Amino acid sequence: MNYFINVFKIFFQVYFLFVITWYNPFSFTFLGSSVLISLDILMLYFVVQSFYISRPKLILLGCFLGFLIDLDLESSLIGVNCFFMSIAAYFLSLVKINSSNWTGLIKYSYTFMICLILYINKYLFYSYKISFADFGVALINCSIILGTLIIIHNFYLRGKSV
Amino acid sequence: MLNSFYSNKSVLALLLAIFFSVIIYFNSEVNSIKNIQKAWLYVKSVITNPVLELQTFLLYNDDVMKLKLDRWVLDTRLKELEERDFSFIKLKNLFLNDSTKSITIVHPKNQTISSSKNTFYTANVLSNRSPQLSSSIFIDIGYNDLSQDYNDKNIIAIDYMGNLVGRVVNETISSKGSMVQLINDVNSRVIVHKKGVLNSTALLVPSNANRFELIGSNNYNINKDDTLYTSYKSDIFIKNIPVCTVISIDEPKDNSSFRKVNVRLLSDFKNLEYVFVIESEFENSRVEY
Repeated sequence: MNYFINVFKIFFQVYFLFVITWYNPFSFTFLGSSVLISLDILMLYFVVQSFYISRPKLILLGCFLGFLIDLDLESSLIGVNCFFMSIAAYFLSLVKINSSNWTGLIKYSYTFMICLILYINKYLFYSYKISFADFGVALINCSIILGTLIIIHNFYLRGKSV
Repeated sequence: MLNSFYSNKSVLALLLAIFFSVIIYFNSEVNSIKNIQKAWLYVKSVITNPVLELQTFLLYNDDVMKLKLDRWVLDTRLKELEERDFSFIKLKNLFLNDSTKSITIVHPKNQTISSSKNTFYTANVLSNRSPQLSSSIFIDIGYNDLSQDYNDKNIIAIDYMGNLVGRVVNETISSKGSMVQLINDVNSRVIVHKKGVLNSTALLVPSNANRFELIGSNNYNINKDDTLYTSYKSDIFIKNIPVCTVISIDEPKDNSSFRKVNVRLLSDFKNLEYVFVIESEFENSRVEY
């Protein structure tokens, strides 16, 4: 019974985050880049979850989240986000596994790198050339995620996340 | 032992997830997946509809000057549109409710105008502000608004200046919303030509969200700053819709006879608020040409 309650809870959380994303009024363009500068709430949720849930669960969550992003945004490449989010989940969960070995700097740098790769490798599937503006926006968006993560970690969770 | 078990479980979960994503990637055109997407988009359309009222309130409340400016811009653009191939349509009626009133609603309500061949609708763009890379937009027009035989027709979208935006994916049309595949999608193919010039047709290939390259052996008639239009050879798009402008031409290297033509789209996808949707019976357009 608890299992179904948890599944429902996660589904509700994810759906609620999508609604927030749809209503998100704060996004900015930067030198004609392909993506907007904004807080990617879904990615933030995904990263925060990687600090708490086990690796197999995170992979399934990544797959589910990616599938919903595909349904929401993709007209012809359904499955791309699902694929990348699953792989990202596998690597992101290393932060939790190595929580006692890695320092905070390594954890945040590693998370930043995974997020950046996740943003950039989508360009390959879109057959887009990555411009300076695109790379800049990817860096800024990852920084926003990381900044929010640090704020949550220090002020809300009081250093108890990982 | 326990670590090994967990490790195997992780690998199993990863393999399952990858298997699932590969399956849906290669079967994305299957009806069951399209139906799931349609259901998801229906719920999205229900939830995001109040966004319009919210945006209108935030943008235009106590801002009469802005309204007047927008109205003037729209008026000018619609006059330009009327001088183009869409002259038989009184597009002005779609936006301006009553010229005697001082306040006009700029956000258009969904309206329809039909000509002998095509049906024009106005549609609002919903939730176009995702931080994820995307080549689609979501509009608030569905099969409740479209004609009954919409499945047999080509449905395309242009912006309020008449520039090409993309095509509505028929499989995603729910009762209240539908997805527009932008022309910068990797699977989108647009054949363009220079108006009035023979042998100037070329295929647009996206190199970025708003930059394209032209592929075509006969593109020597295309020069910098030329505006390119949809070609009559297209199977999807009505002819002579403005698409892009040429920004640079790279001369062929070595023995190659191929010139690389870089173009920029005329439509700004990231700032679209509303679009015109054109439902057309393609064969008629083609025969008439």
